[in-house]
Amino acid sequence: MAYSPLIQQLMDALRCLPGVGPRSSQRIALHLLQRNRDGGEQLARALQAAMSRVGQCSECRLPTEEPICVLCRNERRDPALLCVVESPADVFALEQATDFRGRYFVLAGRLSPLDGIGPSDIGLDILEQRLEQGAVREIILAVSPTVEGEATAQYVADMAHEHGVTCSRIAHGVPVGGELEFVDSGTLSHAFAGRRAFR
Amino acid sequence: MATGDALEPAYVLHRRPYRESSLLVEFLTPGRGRLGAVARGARSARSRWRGLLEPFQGLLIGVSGRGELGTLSHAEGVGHPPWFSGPALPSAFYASELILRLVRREDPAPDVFTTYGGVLDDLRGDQEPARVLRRFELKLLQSLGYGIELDTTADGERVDGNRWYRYLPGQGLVDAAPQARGACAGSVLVALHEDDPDAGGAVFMQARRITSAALEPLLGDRPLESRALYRRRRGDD
Repeated sequence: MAYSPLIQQLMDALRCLPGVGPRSSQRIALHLLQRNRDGGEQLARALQAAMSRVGQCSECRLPTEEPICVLCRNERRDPALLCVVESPADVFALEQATDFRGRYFVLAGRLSPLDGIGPSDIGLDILEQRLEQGAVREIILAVSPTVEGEATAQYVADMAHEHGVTCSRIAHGVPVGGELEFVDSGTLSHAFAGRRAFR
Repeated sequence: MATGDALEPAYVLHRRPYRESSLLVEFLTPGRGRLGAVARGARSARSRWRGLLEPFQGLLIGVSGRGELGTLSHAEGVGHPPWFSGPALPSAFYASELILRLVRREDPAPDVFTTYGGVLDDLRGDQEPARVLRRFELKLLQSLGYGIELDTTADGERVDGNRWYRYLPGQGLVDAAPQARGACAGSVLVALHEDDPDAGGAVFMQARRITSAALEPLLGDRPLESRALYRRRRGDD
């Protein structure tokens, strides 16, 4: 049997969510319609508001509906320290895990030469403008340890070097609580090459 | 792995996300040339292939299913994990892109496989990328049946170190004025032919005019992404 046009439309729309296929979209649509109309309306309002008002922080490019996000407004965070990440989720992960007191810069992904994703596609031109302004003293690269992450890191490091900015990259290593025997060889070789003096 | 299928050596040329948690991996193999396969679940946190299906990685793979797109059933790393620093990384991307564009799927390419392995090893060493890339381009052209005669002109004369030449695809080296587009000094061609250990990077950068003239008709109109990307920052090597 076929659903009425509005229900069908809702189910089709739900499939834009990650991990939602035809079955899940049907389940969600029917759940909202039959059991949780209030929740559904709230979802609709929240979606509407977020989609129309959320933009980007003009400083770090984190998604926000404010012109400048709460992290960049914080006077106690050092604007000379800039941590470069690949996605907004990385900012939240770092905020939870570290006591970093600098600012962030969020790229739109990473360089992928073979897919034609270049520096300006991920916002590296904007980062370059930022470096030209001269307020940044140190860059911390927190990009993924993949080949594309490496390409991105090298590009940013070159740029930092040109502008006389120090640049460091977060370590790749053995996970805490991991046993060496079960760590993949790529991670282990990085961890070995990047060992630190220990007393 | 289908029973009875032996593991095959392969390099990862490229991979892109596929569906929710899988990867679509493009391999280079000696026996089947370029080979596309789906690595199911390879992007999930618990994948046994996590970190393994990275570009430039040498592997032993088992692929089940024939036809255009198989399914990766087995993969284990061979040798050191690949890691390129400095200008070697864009050069390695360039080598992969040439293979992706010029080698056909399901067409045995044992020579290309050896050549690609060689360029990755050389780029990891301390040789100049321009030298390594020219050698790679020449070998690749040779394997594809478009080899360049570096010591003889199209008219059958020996290349003279004091003259200038350019390369015409399908014909060979012809005389050219030094300022002509794509012109290359005879001395550069001699150094390239002998793989002169004393020749500097400038020689191999000029020699690119010859190899790019030879590659141009094979690549068609679409520009190479890896070169367009790195030109600004790294210079044209």
